[in-house]
Amino acid sequence: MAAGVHAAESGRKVGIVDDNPTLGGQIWRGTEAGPTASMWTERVRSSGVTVLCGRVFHQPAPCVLLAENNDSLHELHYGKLILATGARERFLPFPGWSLPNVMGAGGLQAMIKCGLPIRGKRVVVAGTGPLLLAVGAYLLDHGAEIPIICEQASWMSLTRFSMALLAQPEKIVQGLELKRRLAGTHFSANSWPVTASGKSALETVTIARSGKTESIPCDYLACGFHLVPNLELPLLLGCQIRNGCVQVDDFQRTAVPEVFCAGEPTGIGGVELSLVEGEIAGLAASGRIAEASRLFRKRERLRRFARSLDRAFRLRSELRSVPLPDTIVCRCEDVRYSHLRAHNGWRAAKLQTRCGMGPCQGRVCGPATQFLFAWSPDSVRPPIFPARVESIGHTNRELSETTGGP
Amino acid sequence: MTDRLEIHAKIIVNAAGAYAAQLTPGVEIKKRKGHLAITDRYAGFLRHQLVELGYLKSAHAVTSDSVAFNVQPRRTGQILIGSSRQYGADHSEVDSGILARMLQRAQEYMPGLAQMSTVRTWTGFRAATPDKLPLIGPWPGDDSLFLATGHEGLGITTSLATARLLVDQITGTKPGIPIEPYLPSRVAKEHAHA
Amino acid sequence: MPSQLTVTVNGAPVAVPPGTTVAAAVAIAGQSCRTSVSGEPRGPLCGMGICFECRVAINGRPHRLGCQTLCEHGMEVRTHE
Repeated sequence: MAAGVHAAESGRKVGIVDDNPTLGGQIWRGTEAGPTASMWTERVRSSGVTVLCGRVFHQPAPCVLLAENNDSLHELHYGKLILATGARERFLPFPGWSLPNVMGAGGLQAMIKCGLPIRGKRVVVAGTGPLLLAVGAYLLDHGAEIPIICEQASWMSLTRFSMALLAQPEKIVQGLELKRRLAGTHFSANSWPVTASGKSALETVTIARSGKTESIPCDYLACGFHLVPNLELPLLLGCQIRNGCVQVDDFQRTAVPEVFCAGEPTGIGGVELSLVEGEIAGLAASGRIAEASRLFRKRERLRRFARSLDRAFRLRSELRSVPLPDTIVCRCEDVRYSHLRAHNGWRAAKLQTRCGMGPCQGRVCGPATQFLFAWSPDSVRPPIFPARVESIGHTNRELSETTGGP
Repeated sequence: MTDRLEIHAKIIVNAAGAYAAQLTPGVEIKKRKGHLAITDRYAGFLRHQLVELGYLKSAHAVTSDSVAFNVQPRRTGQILIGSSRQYGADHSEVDSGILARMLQRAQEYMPGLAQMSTVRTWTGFRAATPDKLPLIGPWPGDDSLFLATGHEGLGITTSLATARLLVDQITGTKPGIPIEPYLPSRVAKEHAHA
Repeated sequence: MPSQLTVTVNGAPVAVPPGTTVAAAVAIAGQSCRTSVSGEPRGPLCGMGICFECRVAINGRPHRLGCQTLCEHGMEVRTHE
C-alpha cells in the first residue's frame, strides 16, 4: 500500500492486487484497523490507485501477470512491478496437529477477524515469535481465556531480544503495551506442544516444559512457529534468492529489470520495516530517488530489529523429535513422518510419497520438511497458486502477436 | 555413475529414453517435449481415458509443435490433462503458449474442465526415433549392450512387450513377433549404405 | 446494510454478520470443512488462503477456499464433498 500510494502520488497509473477479499494483506485484515492502517487505506483510496482482488498465478509473457479470484481473471500489464507478497506462518507437525481447531496463531486471529466467535473459549497459544504475544493480547481483548502462552525460545534469547527492542522506539511502546495487556496471563519459555488430542476436534493440548509434560483442556490451539517469506512469485519471475530472502539493492530493486520487492520477502522484519521498504520502492519506481534515500536510515534501524528477530526465535532442535512415525507431515496428501524420513531430498520424497503434490503446493509441508530434514524445495512452475483450467488456458490475441508465438 | 561408482555386468540395457544418446553415443534419439497438467480431486467426473483422433496425427508429425486432447482420470480423482509435442525444445521449463493451447484444446472437447482447479503442471521429454519405431535389441559392435528406448509416447504402454522381446534376444529364444523392425542395427545398416 | 445475513451449511441456516467468511460460518454451524485423503476431518489452519484445509463447496462449486470467501445472503455451503 505504501509503495502504491507513493507511485500514484507521483502521477503514475498504479494497481494493487491483494489476494484477500479486501485490501490490507494479513496484518491489516478485517474491519478493526488501527490508526496506521486507516491512514494508509485512506491514502490508497484518495490517490487513485486501482485495487484488485486476486491471486497472481502465472507470468505468460514478459511484463504480464495473470491473477484470478473466485469470479474473474485479471490480465495485468506492467511497466514496473513491486512485489509485496508478504509472509505466511511456519507450521511444524506434532501428533494431532491436523485436528480441527488446531490453527496457526495468525490463523486463529484471522478467523476471528472474519467472524469466528471466541468469547468465553479457552485458547492455548504456542509456537515462537512476537506474533504469539500480539495474538494473545488480541484474544484477551475479544473475551477468550488463555491458560498459557508457550514460547519455544529460551529465557536467554527472549531477554536478549528485549534488549534489542530498546533501539526501536515504536517497539518499546508496543512491547510495554503488550506486557500490560498480558499481565495476568501465564507465559512460559522453553515450552512447546507435543500432542493435540480429541475425538473429532481438539479437546486437550499436551505441552513440554522444563522436562515435564502437562495436559491442558482447551477449545483452540493457536500455534505457529514464526514466519516464512512468500517467495513463489519472486522465484517465478527469476529474482535472486539468498538465505531464503529476495535479494534487493538499496532502492529495493531485484535482479530482474523493472521488478522491485519490499517487505517480508526481503527478510522478515515486521510491519514498520515493510512500510518503509514499500515507501522506498514506490518512490524509487517513480524516480523520486532523493526522497527514497532519505528513508535509508530508518530502514537500517528497522533491519537491525529484523536481524534480532531472526536470532531470538531460531527453532530449537528438540522440535525435530516431536513428530511420531505416524504423524502427518503433508496434510494435502496425508503423508506421514515415517514415510518421509526414508528419503534423501524433497524431489525424491515428492515422487515416491506425493508429499508436496497437493493444492498447497508445499507451502505448509515445505518449511516443515526443510526444518525436519534439511530439504530444499524444487524450482517453481506455473501455476504458483491453483487456478482454473480456463484461466491458465487464457491467451490474449494481442499478446501473442507481440511476443511472436502461439 | 554420477557418484563415481563403477558397476560391471555381462549385459547392460540402455533404457535411458530421451537421454539414451548420452550413454551410447550414436543412438539417434530426438527429444520431444510434452506438457501435462493435473487438477484437484473431482471424484466421479470421469471414468476412462479420452483421446481425440487428432492425437495420432500429432504423435506422428515429425517437425511441428502440436497439441492434442488427451485426458484421463487418476485413482485419486484428479484429472490428468495432456498433450503436447514440441521438437527442438531443450529446456524443461513450462512453455506458457503451448500450455495455454493445450488447455484450450482440452476445454473444446470437454467444457466441464474449464472451472476445475489446476494444481500442477510439468514437462517431460519423450524419446523419438527418425522412423518412429522403438529401438529394442543389441547395439551393433557391442555384444554386451542392448537398447530399449525410442518409444515416443508409448514407453510404459509397451513396456511388457519390450521386456519380452529383450529377454528373448538376450537368452537366444525365438521372439513371438518379428523383431527386425525394432533392431538398432536397422539404423546402423542404413548408415553403412549411405 | 443488513445487520445479519443467512447462509446454509449442509442445509441448515446460519445467520452471520456481514464480513463473515464461509469458514467462520461453517465453524459457527459446528462443522468441519473437509475429509482428508485418509479420512480425517479437517478445518482451517492458516486462515489466509494457503493451506487449502478450508475447502468447501459453495453454491455447487467444489474446492472453494472458505476462509477467503465472504458470506453472501443465500449462499449454500456444503462440507466434506
